[in-house]
Amino acid sequence: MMNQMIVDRNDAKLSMAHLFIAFAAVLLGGIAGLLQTLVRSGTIVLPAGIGYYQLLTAHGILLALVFTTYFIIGFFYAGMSRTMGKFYDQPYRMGWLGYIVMTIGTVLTTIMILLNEGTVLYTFYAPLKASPWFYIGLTLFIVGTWLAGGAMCHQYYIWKKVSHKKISPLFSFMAVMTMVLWFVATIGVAVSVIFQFIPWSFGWVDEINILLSRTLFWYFGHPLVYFWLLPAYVCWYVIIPEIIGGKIFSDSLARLSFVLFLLFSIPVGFHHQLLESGISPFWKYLQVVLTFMVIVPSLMTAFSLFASFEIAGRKKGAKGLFGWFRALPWKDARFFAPMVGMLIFIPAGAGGIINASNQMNQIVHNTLWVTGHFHLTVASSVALTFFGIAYWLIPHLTGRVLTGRMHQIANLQTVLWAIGMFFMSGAMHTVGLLGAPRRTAYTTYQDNPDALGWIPYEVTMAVGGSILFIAILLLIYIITDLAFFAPKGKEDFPIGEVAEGAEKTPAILENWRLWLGIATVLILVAYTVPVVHMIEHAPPGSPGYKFW
Amino acid sequence: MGVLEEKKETARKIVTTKEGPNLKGTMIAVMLLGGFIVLSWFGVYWLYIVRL
Amino acid sequence: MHMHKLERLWLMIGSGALIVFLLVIGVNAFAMGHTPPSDSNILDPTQVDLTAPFDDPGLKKIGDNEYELVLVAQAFTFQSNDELKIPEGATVHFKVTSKDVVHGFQIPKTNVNMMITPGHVNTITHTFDEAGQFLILCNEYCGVGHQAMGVPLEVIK
Ligand code: HEM
Ligand SMILES: [Cu+2]
Ligand SMILES: [Cu+2]
Repeated sequence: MMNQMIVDRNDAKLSMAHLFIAFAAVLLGGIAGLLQTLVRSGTIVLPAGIGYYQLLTAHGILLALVFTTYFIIGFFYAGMSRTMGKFYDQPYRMGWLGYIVMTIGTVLTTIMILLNEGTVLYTFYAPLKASPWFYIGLTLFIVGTWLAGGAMCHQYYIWKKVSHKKISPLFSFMAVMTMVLWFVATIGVAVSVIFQFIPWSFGWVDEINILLSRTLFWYFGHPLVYFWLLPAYVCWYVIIPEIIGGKIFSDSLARLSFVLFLLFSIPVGFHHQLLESGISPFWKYLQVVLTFMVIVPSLMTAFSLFASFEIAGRKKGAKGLFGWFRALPWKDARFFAPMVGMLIFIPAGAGGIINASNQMNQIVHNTLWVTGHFHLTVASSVALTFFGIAYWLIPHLTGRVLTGRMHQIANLQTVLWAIGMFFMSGAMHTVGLLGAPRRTAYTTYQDNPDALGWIPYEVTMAVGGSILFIAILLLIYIITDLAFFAPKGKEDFPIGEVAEGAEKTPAILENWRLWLGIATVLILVAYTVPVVHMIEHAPPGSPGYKFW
Repeated sequence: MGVLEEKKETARKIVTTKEGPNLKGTMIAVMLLGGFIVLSWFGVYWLYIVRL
Repeated sequence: MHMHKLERLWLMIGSGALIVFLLVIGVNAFAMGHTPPSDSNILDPTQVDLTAPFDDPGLKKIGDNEYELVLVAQAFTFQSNDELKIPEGATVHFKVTSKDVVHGFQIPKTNVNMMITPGHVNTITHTFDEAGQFLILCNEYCGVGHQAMGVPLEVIK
């Protein structure tokens, strides 16, 4: 295998350029997050005319879009370079072009938010109408990610041609699969922004079809969360086994789970629209069933991960039913952060199943429960895994090492994150069940007794948020140190090997045409009838409103 | 698990992994996870029913 | 593809649990009439004030301790011409639309929770078995005054 041990220097630069923006976004987004918890609990009033919702828009965009996407792309470039070899010229140049386009888009959208011209939250639901430049910025951002995905697919394509191999390295396969999922998913939001939002916000058309815009958004919105999650799964499947001194439990099953994510994570957007008019209960329930199918690959993942831990532990001589659990390298920051992320994924996943359970969504929809839920999924499971990756990836790319002292500081970071999130997310879940709405500034609804009862929980959120903010400062310290000051040396890029004697991976798993074909059929089945109905049976459209 | 079954199991496992088939701890771990999911799900379902 | 015996068992148990969840909510939704709010009626969102029944939003008695409460959501309140007072044990059919942007419609401590999209009507029914103070609030961001968008609903003995 053409298995280079070190990421090529130029590829490293491309990757690092992405990681810098990712972590800058964490710092800025974290400041916003802290302020939000302080406002909601009635602790502070925002100065200088900054609005709560302006802050919340920035927080959502910076963390859910900028941090995640830049990190994912940077991580994939590095991992593909590590497992397939240096990027060829053309994809390499396309990678930089994508970076530039994405960044122009990010800057444009950020400026619009700062000017208070885009206070529509990161979901930008019509008919709240932002400046056209807000939407154009988002479009450029998406186009940039397409170029990045194109660069990766092109690299993969050339590699396959040159190497004559049927099966690509697991890391690269997973990276390409994630980007393919992203392509299919972003079509929805791109269609909506380009054909609905931009003409409408420029005033070229007067009205917008609200339900259609929401449906196109959520066609994208659910696979979006898998776009965040799959790179974390890449780390759990491919990298963690190497760090714990074990083997990848099964290459085929790992690939199969990624195939299942492509198939089932898209035709499920209605589980975000369960309480909406204009979509029949039948189609909602059908998509709920499909949503439940996408839980199966996560059940497989849970088993595979525990299995690779148990096998590794037993090989090292761990005894008893759970001896292997104690034998894990808990002091190794490269393991500890993602592992805490994995454990947090247990309550996170349980909450997700509840959210998607059709009419049970009435208990939680748009309450703080939901905010608590995705601070466990994306802001803990995914974020901690990404932090854990950065701890070795950044020194690997900058030619430095992760020292023993840094391991300790990084583990402290993880512990603080877990504690802060326990308080913040725990309080959010509880007060959400009591009915407190999400995306809402400080309020008591004229001293309504129910609303007054929420305040202690909101104070708990602020306590958790403050601990989280300290953790973010610590994180930025670690990242800065690893990028610029840590001792020079060679840090490993761990890539797990498949257990010896494991069966050969069937080539069908890399049959893109087949999987994309099935995915398309499922999408058409789940969406055609309701979308046609939405268009044919549409009410007159809505003009835009700027209520901020 | 019968002796015979266990033998068959080991024989088959050799095809997939060499490390041996003992994944009892894993099974218990995932069952605990499953139990947690079921409990929390029925907890919220109960809330839904009493609030009807 | 080979799969460890225990993994196959786990996937069977796990999928079994998911099927049970789906059956429970499926039966509850379709056989017992608790499908989530999914009204299919539409209207012109710029003509709400001229469209019945939203031209006269308020509380209407439609049966024995049964009411229809028509409300118009708009930034940043729920409009009604009547006081929101209902007797204990009343079944209320909420019928709501929006005059401007998307709003939410939620009553804490109950299952009343639905989206109000302009151009669409949404409906939900709830029986208030106990007297007390309730709060109708908007749970979808709708602008600077979103946090003020809540009206009390009183259930009297
Ligand atoms: C210092 C750490 C953090 C704090 C204190 C924090 C706090 C908050 C708060 C208070 C809210 C909004 C509550 C409301 O609905 O009014 C929120 C929303 C949100 N947070 Fe965080 N958060 C943090 C980190 C993160 C991270 C790391 C991510 C993602 C990777 C994230 C993603 C989001 C998203 C997507 C929203 C929803 C925005 C919206 O509803 O439009 N947060 N956060
Ligand atoms: Cu979703
Ligand atoms: Cu509102």
